[in-house]
Amino acid sequence: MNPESPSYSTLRTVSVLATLATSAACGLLAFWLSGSWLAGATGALIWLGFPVVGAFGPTDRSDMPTLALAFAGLLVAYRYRRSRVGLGMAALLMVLSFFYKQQFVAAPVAVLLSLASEKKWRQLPGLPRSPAAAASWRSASSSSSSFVARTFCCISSLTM
Amino acid sequence: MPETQPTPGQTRIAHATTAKPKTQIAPFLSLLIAGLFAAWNLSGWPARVCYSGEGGVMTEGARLVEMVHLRDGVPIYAPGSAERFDASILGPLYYLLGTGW
Repeated sequence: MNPESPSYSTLRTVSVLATLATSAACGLLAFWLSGSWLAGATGALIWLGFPVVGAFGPTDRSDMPTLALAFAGLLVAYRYRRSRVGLGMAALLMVLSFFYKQQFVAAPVAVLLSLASEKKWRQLPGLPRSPAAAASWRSASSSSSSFVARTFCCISSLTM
Repeated sequence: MPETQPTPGQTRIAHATTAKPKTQIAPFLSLLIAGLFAAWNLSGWPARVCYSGEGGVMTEGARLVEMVHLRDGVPIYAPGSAERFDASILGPLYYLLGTGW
């Protein structure tokens, strides 16, 4: 940035690129879930067709890059949920999202609840491995809470 | 030799092989409608990105001032005083990226 003539263009460009990346991520998720390229293309275009996306995309607002980072973390966690390295990468992306704007917490909460519902608390990076933590995670992953967690994961990934 | 009756499974297979494939119009129509809305949204983006003034969506100017302050070495996350105040409600990565690190 030139202090003598500051410009909006840098962060506007970042926001535009993040909006397009989020569109690609929407298409990728739709393709993964349906196996159809047509569904993937439609999902990507539906994201770009939202009026709020059209309004916020070419501005220097922080919403689009934050959402892109959080959504990327969600996709990595979804794709590589059986790998500790994959979950670590997802956590890194979500932390970067949090350091950009402290708002989009739906993706981390969704991944956390999804892993808890599948009784994969041992794969969560950085959690204490104590018996008490194990017991709390096991109690949180009963059948009813598993259903709630899966539902929350689906809803949050659709409404982020 | 008596004629054998086809089983239900055989009937379904026969219908499936003889039926004409239907043209799936709805998915392509959905793609077209979504594409139209996306094109409508994206059409104004180049002009808005290149516009040198503050955009129509609020607070662009306030963020830019905070980034200029950060570039000048002002502690933008410090508590406000009578001399200076920066709102700085966003994370540090945003300001660092805006100032070019």
